[in-house]
Parts: sequence; C-alpha cells; structure tokens
Amino acid sequence: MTHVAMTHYPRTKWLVLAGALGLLGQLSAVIFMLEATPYTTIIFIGGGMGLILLGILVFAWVVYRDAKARAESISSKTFTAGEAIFRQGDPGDKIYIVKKGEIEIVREDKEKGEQVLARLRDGEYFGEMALLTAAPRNATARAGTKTEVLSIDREDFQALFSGIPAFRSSIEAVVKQRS
Amino acid sequence: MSKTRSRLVWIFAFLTSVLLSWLPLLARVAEQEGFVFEQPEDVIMHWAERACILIFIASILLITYVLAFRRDRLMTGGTKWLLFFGLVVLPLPAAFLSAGVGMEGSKATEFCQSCHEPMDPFVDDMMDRESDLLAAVHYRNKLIQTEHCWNCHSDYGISGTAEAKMTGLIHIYKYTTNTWNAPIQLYSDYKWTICLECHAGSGYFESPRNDPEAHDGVLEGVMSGEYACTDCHETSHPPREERSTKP
Repeated sequence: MTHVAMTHYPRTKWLVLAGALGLLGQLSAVIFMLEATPYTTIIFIGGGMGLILLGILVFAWVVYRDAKARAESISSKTFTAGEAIFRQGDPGDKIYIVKKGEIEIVREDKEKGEQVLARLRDGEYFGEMALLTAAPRNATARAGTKTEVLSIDREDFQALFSGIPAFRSSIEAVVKQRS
Repeated sequence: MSKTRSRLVWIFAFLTSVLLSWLPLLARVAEQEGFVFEQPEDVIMHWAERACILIFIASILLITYVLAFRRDRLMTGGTKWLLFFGLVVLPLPAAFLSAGVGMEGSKATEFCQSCHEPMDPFVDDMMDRESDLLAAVHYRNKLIQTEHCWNCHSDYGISGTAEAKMTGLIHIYKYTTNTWNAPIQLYSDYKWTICLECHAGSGYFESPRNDPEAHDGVLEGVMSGEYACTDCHETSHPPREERSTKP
C-alpha cells in the first residue's frame, strides 16, 4: 500500500514553526526568570513574548485553514446519463461521492471490450485508488442515469484523510476491499 | 529520511532542548562558591521558578512527542489537543509566571548594578563602609533588608510599582542601546514621601535622639512637598561631578 505518502499532513512545517517559536519564546522567559539582566529583559520583553504569541497565532492559523479547507473541500456537479466523470488512463486528481443517481465503473479492454466492474449508488464513493497510488485512473466512471456527484480534490482529500480518523478508516476499509 | 531516523532526530532535539533549559540554572549554581550569607530565598518565588521550568519541559515533551510519534495523525482529535496544550495552554501561563518571577528578580540591587557604567558609582558608594551618605547609612545598618534601590525608588501601591517598572524599562532600553546621558539623574524631583513609608510613626522620627523637637512640623512639610529630607540630612548619593561619565 502507498498510504505512507498520503498521510503527510500538508501543514506540518507550519506546526513545526509554531512549536519552534513557542519553545524559543519560553526559553527566553526561563532565562529572564533565572537571570534577570538588562539584556535578558530586552530579549524576553522585546522578543520572547512576541515569539510565544506568534507561535499561538501560527497554530490558530493552521486550525483556521483546516476548518476552512473542510468547509470548502466539497463541490457538487450533475452529470447526464452516459456522460463520463473521468476516463480510464486520465490522471487522478479527485475523489467522487454519489449524492443522487447511479455511476457505472467500466474497464475498457482492447480484447474483452467494455466490462462493467461496479454500479455505485447514493452515498458510495469512487476514484480514491488513483489518489492513493498516484497512478492514472484504472477504469472509466460514467453516469448510469442523471446523477449528482460530489467531488473532493487531492489536497483537500489529503487533509481529510490525515485529519479525520473516521474518514481515513472508511477509505482504508474500502480500498482493502476493492484491491 | 526514514521514519525511525526522523524520530531519532526529534528525540535528540528534545534532549538537547531539555539540557539547554537547565543550563542557566546550572550556571547560577556553579557561581555560588564558598560561603556567602544571603537572605533566605522567597518560597513562592522558589517554587514559581521550578514550576516554570517544569512547564517548559512539559511543552518541549508534548511538542516533540507529537512531531516525532504522531506525525501521521497531526491535527486529528487527540493530537490536536496535545498540540493545543503544548503551544497555548502551557506556554501562556508559564510566560506570565516567568515574567512575574523575572520582574520580582529585577528589583534586586544586583539587577540595578548590572547597568555597570551608570550605576556603579551609586552602588559602590552605598556599599562603602566609610561613606556617610544616606544610601550608605541605610545599607550599612541594614535599615533596608533587600532590594535597596527598589525600596527607595518605587512609590506606594500598584501604580508606584507600575511606574517604577515602566521607568526601569526605559532605563534598560537606553542602556542596551547606549543612548543614556551621563551623568545620570532623576527625571523629576525625588518624592520624599517615599521615606515616610518606613520613617513616619517611628520613635526616632517623632522624637530624634539629639533634638526631640527637630522634626516638629516635618511630616506635614514633607507631605506637602515643602521640605526635603536632605534639607537637613546628608544627600543620598554622590554629587553629579562624582558620577560616571560615559565611556
């Protein structure tokens, strides 16, 4: 499985920065506390307190970006019967969820012709394999009827995958089943 | 970088940080050679110091643990709370507590003297056993137990403390940026009512030994600003011409 690559949290470097700022600020506070001199006072009052507050602000920004990304991560689109959502061999950049309707997952083989692998209905999702393996789509997805589909792009999927344990376990269970 | 190697790097960073956090304390212990009589340490300050250091270490521990061992679950429910504790809940009170302890420590005479060039003439004279100036008499006879500069140069109450601290910050700024003017002097006339904090009501003040009526009307005069203690007594510190010139 290629899950390790997908579990990297996109804003890790910001959290490392927040941690470094907070710890540096605290270190200056401890030094000022243990050895109050004009210079340690200036370093703590003029810099250390600011670093602690900056670390907290960076952390708050990460929390805000996460919340915003979750709110904006899902978009909706309606497909007519027979219309393709993606085709076999396309690069994988989104995961899809069937909101209302039916999706056919079709494998196109030169020798065997079209082969319907699955029919997905309301609440089921597809397209996750290409995101997890970074490989091209291994099948075509097309609407069986007029179908409304929700989509989540790669970055948001990564954030959800690493940020919401329930979402992650659900995806992992389905991937295990499908592979 | 492999996961194990990455964790080892974080553990090394953690241990280094813990060691660094204790260095200032160890350095201070190493300085205390031989027997030196000092006032007993303030119990509250003693434990506040230790609490701050422990909180600091707890912060390092939490942040390092999360970044080293829960990197694949960053910002998930539990990990987010650990980070919240490591970055917000622990550092904020620790910073305020450290600031409080440090501010209390900055009342010490040694702190005032750490601005050597401007302050040395004042502190040297105060500690001179031959000096008859007021500060030296108070110091020599332990009329003020600790924080000698602070006790005479901070006014009553919270506003007096805040004003003295603000003035102190200005002094620190001027000293560290080398923008102070020599010889140093007070911004405004000294408030002689500060002396009354200890002297008013005392037997010697009400009825001085050599001349029991010498202080008649002095309390009212000092309160109204009409009299200064140095109208009759020695000055507190060396005169302007004996103070430092800027190097």
